Amino acid sequence: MNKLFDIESASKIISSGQQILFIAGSRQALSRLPKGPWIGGTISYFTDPAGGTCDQEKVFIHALPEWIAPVPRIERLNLENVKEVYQRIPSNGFALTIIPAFSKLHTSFAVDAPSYPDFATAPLVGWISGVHLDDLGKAAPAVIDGSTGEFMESEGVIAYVTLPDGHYADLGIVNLFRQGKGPAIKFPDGGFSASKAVIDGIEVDFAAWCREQDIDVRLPLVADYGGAMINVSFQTISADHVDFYAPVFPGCAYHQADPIDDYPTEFAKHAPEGEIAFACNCILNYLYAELEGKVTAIHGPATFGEIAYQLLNQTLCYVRFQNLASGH
Amino acid sequence: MTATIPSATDPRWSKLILGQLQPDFLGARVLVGRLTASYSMDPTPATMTACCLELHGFYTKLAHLPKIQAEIAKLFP
Repeated sequence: MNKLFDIESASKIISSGQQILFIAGSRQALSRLPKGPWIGGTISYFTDPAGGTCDQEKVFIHALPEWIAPVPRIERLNLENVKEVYQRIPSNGFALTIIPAFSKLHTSFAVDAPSYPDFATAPLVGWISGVHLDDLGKAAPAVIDGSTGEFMESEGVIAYVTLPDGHYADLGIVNLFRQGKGPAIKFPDGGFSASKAVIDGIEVDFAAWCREQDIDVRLPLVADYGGAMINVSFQTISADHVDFYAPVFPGCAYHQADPIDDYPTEFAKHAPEGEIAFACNCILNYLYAELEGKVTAIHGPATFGEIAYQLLNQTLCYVRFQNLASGH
Repeated sequence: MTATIPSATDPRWSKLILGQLQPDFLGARVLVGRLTASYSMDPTPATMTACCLELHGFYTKLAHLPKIQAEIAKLFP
């Protein structure tokens, strides 16, 4: 598992009765898979063990280990029930969700999740589905419930997984970006775009400031969340506002990141130990670090957003299972 | 051995909100990030009390996890 499979091999895995599978692939590839206990999302970019690749024919499979006996609960995630997502995660378990990019659910979750009841008290991991970059604006990102074969473009899909006693799901992130030495940037209003910012205490036209500074949009804004570096990636700098791939939040102080010299080498230094059950990395890391053809330490889809408790950008997130008794 | 979680009124909780103490557990970090932003927007004693209460509830709920127990022992020796 944790690699790309052709459709014939993937179909055999699904039909074998393997514990739930998390599958990523192009819409045409996913549509050729048999029904079964799996959830999936559309994407065509992967960090495969053989190297980063764009592939419209194969699908990337993560599977739960066989020792997780209970059958996960697969549900749709919508604008109503997403508010209860942390509360609905089994007390000894975790949830993996896939949400279509550009959907209202994507926006709602990104902005409001930190305010949902019991935020971060249960492990929620997942990713934002996307499309081939040539199809941006032409095709809609989607998710699929493998048990019915139905694609959804406005709803998400989520698997609630109960772990056997004595185990728990440990979520982690690998974010190589650190806050640079530039000025602190605050935003009076939150959201996926900003027209005004307060920089070193002075309110500025943020789009104009970005142009004046000739900033490198490949380097995200980084906020320090209790020691965790949380990115907000630049999308476009327009005449009068700046669009992001994740929301900025009022009250957070952001600094633009310093550049990373060699992503695969630096990534290898920060790769987590132990067996990784699931991982995804950001398509912006795939593109900006030119990962196509390069081998990285952790494998999964290259996504339009990552979820580890909340929406993340330009970050790898992962799940590994640990033993309550030993902590390993 | 289970680490002891200090009461929600213990002043050390506010050190986490103010960035003077840092958690290691990712869930705690993202929660602290949100609470720190909330306090920055409304830096009043009432907001700090609410933030500390939420953080205390977080650690209480997850106190059975080895990582959380180790973190409590480290943060509140």
